[in-house]
Amino acid sequence: MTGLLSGGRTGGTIKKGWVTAGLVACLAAVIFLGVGLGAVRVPPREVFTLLFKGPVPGDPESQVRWEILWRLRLPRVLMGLLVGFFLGIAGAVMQGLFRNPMADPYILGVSSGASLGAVLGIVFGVGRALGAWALPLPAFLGAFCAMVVVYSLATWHGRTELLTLLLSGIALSSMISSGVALIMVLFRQRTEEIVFWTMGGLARSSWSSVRVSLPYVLVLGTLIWLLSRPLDVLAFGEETAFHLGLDVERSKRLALFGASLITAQSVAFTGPIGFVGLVVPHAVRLIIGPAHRWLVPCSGLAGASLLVLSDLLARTLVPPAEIPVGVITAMGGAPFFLYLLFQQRKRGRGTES
Amino acid sequence: MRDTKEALVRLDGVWFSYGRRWVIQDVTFAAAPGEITAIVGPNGAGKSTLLKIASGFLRPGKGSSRVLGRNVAAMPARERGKLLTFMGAELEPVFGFTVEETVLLGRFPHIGALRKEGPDDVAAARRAMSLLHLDDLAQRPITGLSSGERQRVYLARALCQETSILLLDEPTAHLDMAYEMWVMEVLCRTAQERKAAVVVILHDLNLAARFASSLYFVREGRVCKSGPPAETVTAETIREVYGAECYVFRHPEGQWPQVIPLRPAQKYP
Repeated sequence: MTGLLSGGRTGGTIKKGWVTAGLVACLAAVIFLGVGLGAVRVPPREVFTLLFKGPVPGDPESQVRWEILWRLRLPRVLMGLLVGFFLGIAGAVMQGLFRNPMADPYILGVSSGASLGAVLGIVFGVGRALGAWALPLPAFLGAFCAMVVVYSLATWHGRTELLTLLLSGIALSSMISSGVALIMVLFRQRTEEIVFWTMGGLARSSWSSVRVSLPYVLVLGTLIWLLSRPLDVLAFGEETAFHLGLDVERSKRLALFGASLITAQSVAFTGPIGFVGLVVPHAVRLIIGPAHRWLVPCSGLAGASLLVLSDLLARTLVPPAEIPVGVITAMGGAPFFLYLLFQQRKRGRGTES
Repeated sequence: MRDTKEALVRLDGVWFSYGRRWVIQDVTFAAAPGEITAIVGPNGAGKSTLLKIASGFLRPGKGSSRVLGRNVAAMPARERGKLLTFMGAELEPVFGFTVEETVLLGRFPHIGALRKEGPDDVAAARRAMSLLHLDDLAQRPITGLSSGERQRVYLARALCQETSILLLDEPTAHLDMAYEMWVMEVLCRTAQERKAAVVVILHDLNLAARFASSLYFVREGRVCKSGPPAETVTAETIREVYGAECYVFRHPEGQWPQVIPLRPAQKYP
């Protein structure tokens, strides 16, 4: 085996490059399918011309298709892409930070905070005045508050203890969830709306939600990617990280902040979508290894592809009904995950790599 | 100790407690460059705590912990990482970083978060890996290694950090007899070549007596005795510190004392 140390690039680097390229291609294909398929099927060539050149002038049918593609499907697909990307990288960060492949982006109570915010928004109708922001805004605030509370509970004299963070996250989550359940019982007439929100989905996507979410990818995605090496170091435990010359508290704070904020952003618009943030980083790690420089972007790409594809299935499998996208991500993701796990075991690398 | 040489690591009147009890009581300690200083003593004596105070990971309740005359706890993280390395009981690895990736992380203080590894870093990692015979394992994930192999990986990472202070908590744990001697030999050479202060915690008094220039016998958070092995490794000291009866003799190939344990001082009830 050739390695970095025997001169030149590692065989591993080339493999990782190919995997990344494959994921980009996969994402492009899935976007194309996602935009073209649905109640109105548009052939690929027409998708291409409609998106890049606009509708054929003077053709009302073309105009209608363009409207469907541009106003309905494209923002929904892009939102799926963004949220999948968010959940993928947030999951990678949380798993690395907590040294636990079972960690997911919602582990610190961000999603239950968002649920409480959204539910309060639904019940009290605070959002009527906010129009399209009626749910995302209170949901984001709820997520943000949960994040701040959990974080302050676990921080003492400038040190944030990861185990305490995990436990207070779990405690706060279950407390908030029971609060949500209580509200559901008290306001029975709104139950359907609440259940719909808590199941998560991309139906409410619009260009404005895409516009608001895009900066998060650029700013926080970059921040997290720049934290790759500190995350590698932290994966060996905080004491080792300290002795390798890492400012442990600062790196931890930045990583937690970045991952929680992008999770809050995604959950605010789509509600909690399970499984993507758990299974994607784990699966990607099995293929390209745990080094965050590759793991973070690849988890983002894979998460984006998975969510766009799942959403496509969610809205086309049993028309005109829509299956909650979380059901699809779990149904499709879990067997694939198990396949990887068994494949790995056959190769004798152990289940934990 | 040897105050003729400037000590690289120095603890002065250090007290430390995790809660109520003082687990370290008024310890003064110095490690000089170019040699190995060993800390020995029974389980729970406070050896690891002492080493973590020296590394700045724990802050002393009273007294001072300095490296190169500077307060180690107040040093910026990366600067500290360039100056001293610490290897202790590592957590069970969860993720399958390759041996090569793991060793290269020893370069973190030199390259930081953003820069890419340069030729110097690769060279340092390559040297450390071949010193510990890890070349053939380079692409293996550390999760699949035996604990002895993993111990060598973590040692290589510490060496690759290229610091002038090495603090090693049981560097020979999990190693076979030949590797025990080999690792101590590597540490001796490192100390001499880099003019580095190497502080090791050892359970094997024979290794300590053979390779260390001075020994600190620690018991119940205090230094009972310190000095060169010829003066400190005696049947009386071992009885006092460990509560064990030993036979001490000269090693056939040199002047260092060697120990054969006879029986615990405590009688079976």
